[in-house]
Amino acid sequence: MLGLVMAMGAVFVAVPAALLLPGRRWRGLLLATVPAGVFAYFVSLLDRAADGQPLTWSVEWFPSLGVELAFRADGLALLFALLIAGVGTFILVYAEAYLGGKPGAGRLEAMLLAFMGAMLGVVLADDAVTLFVAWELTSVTSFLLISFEQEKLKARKAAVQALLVTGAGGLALLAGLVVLGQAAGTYRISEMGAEAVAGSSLATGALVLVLLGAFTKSAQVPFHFWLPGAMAAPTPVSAYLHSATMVKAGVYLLARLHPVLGGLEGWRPAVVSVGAATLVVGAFVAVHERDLKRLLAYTTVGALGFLTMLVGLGTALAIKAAMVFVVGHALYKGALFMAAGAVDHGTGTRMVDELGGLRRAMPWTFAAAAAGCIGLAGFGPVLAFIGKEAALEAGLEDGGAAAGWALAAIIVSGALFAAAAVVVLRPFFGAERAPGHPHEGSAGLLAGPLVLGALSFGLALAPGAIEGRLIAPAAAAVAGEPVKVSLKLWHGFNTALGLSALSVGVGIVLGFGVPRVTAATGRLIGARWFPSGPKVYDWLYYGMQRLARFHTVWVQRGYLRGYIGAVLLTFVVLAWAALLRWGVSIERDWLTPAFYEAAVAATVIVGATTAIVHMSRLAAVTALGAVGFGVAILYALFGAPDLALTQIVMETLTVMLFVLVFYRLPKLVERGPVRRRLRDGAVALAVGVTMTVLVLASLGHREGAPISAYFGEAAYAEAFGRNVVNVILVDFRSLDTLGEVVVLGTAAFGVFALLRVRRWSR
Amino acid sequence: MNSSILRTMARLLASLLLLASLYLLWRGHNAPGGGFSGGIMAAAAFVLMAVAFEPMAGWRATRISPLVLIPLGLGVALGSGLIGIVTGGEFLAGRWVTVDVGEGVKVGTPLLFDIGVYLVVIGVALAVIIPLMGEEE
Repeated sequence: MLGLVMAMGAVFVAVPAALLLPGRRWRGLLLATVPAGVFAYFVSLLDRAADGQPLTWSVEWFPSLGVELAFRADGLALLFALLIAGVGTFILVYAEAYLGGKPGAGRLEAMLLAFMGAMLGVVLADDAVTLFVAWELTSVTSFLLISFEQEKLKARKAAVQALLVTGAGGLALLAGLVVLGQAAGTYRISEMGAEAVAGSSLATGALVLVLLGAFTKSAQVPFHFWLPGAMAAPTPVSAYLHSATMVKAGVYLLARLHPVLGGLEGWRPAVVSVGAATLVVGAFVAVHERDLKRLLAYTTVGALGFLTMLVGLGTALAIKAAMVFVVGHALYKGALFMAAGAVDHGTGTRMVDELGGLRRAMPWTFAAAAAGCIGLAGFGPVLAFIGKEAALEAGLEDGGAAAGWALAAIIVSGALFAAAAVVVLRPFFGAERAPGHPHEGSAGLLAGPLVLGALSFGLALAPGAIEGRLIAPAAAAVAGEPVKVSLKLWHGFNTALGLSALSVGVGIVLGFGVPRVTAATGRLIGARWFPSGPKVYDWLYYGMQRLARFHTVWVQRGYLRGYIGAVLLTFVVLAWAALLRWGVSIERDWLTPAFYEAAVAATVIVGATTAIVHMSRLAAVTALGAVGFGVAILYALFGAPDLALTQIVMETLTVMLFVLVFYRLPKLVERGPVRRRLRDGAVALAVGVTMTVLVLASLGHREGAPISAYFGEAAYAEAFGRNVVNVILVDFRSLDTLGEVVVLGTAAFGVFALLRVRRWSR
Repeated sequence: MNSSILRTMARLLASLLLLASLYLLWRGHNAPGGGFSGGIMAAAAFVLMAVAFEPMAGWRATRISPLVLIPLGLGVALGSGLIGIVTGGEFLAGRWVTVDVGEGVKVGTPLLFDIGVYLVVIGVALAVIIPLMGEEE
């Protein structure tokens, strides 16, 4: 049972190892054994999941809230977990070769491993809160990975952008999961009932919030722009996070919650339309890109839209298609990204127009890229093709309006993807052209793309290896009922094949015409007024900063009397609102004080008056000291010797402190305009009156038994002390005291530093 | 300030204040006093030294720099809390031993905690007040 946790734990344990191991060639291989082992372990769990008895593990986390640390390895979870561990294995080898002994390679591998662990947590989590925590962890690690080359402004900006978009979505998701948990009556995802959720008034809210979380993470329109921006990351990161794993987390979430939310009225139109729009936009923009990685990023956006759309359709056939395509896409896109990185590594550029004839100098990279491009085009004996055909069949079979739109989107984007594939392959043909001397990558650079590319073919030719053990349990978990899966590469001549052939054919022709055919549309997208994602993001981002600046200038004027006035007047208003709301009743017995009480009160009044009237600051401070000592005597008179003692020593130090500060101030010559003095006087009077009334009123408002009796008894019985105040401070509430002294100490260092800086700057 | 009367008296008074502050600290659990008021009284003793002689005299009179006293005190308070954990209870749980003097005196981790507070308060008060007094090192 503990195996699931140990598998994730092993990945996290490898993080410090990556940081500590020396930067040799074998480090990547050694680290890769961890995800490889985890992969093998997950393979061994497949049969249990297929039998409908997935491995689970849980432990109480916040029992009072019904939150657990719970994991469950069902078919869907295992499908994604195998992708994460499997692709991750090759990525680690590739990363070592890609950075080739540069400093920071270990850091990159460590962060990749941390991300891998977080991602495994997302897909294996069976508790909504556990899922959310892992989800946020992937956002944070992905921020670190995108900003890996932190000295570059572009990388930092892209990282912040990705973090803000996915982080905002994460907040929506947290709210959505909590609402969902409330509606379903449980946070265990596997125990959530569709009927309970559908019958709740919270259902729509939960759906909207969860969709926001999933759409931002999976780069759906209109949040898609962060993903191409994230290409500022080193290629291993792009290949891993932005093709195979992290961006698929949103799709995973949709698939995971499909049994719970899929029946709701809004699900199908919302998810299908957003997915279809993303598919077309991604594919359309991809054709206009000249940078290999950005081009691939946009096709990834499109593929994510494709998957979202399929999960939105939600028929058994569509779900089956989605599950096949998830695997197929990870294989071909991983291969393509890594091949693009190898091109960058071997020639020094990724711009399509600067490259040509690379197939002679880089034959193996060419092979991997070609294999990937067949997947991208979606036509040929590759796994992605099987997924796409199934999707077309699902669209044809369904016949609804949503399915019609989906079909149109698949056909249009199919052509554009094929065109993009032609663009990607062009650097390998024609006359040899490159900025540097092109050379083939090392074995470490080639192993990943070649193996993934080969698997893309192999699994398509022998789909029996995965259909029963992997795809069927995953599809069943998404559909919420058993799904019969039999995958075939060749379905005979049917409508789906015809549509596919047509769109790919048009696309290939189009691809040869790029960039001439795309010149006009390219100008349109690039136009200043065109509301592209990054522009809207920048507008919001800088608008927020402007708003903050305006707000700060308006509220934070920098006058101490302004702040004090605001605080005091707020207090007066709130206090009177409460007093009037609940009524004031004041007893009269305070009107007849004992003579010594009256004497102390008189001292305090005289001290306060002197402090106001006197023109010498030192005299005013001394008079304030008299007020303080008067108050201390009052404490003593009314049975609070501890307070009195502290007040006396404190007052002594405060007076000294004031004297020391005022000693340096210039002489007070005038008190400012009469208007301001009247205003300040009014505020002071209002506060004084309010406080007096409040104290007197509270005397008549004793409700409930005072707690002093309890403390009086417990202090000696439980803490062996007769001084109740002290016992509370150092025993009953010692954690509070500890917090207070920490604050005091920190503040003291701040004050000390400020005072020293002043002296040094002189 | 240049007054030999003040200087002579300051040494005596400061010693007495320190003694009184330790007494306050010790008796705090059963009578008015404790780490906070004790700490302020001790700080007052050092400030008196600083006023009578020169600011750095008050700073140096603590032997351990006030800037070190703050983390030291926090460490003592934290340590007293950890004792609770080490002995199988919760963080900051009180632990007591009876010292066999006279009728038997109970000494426990709350006293240790109070000593930590005492040290922090001395450090904080001096770190804020003495730099305000002095122009030079």
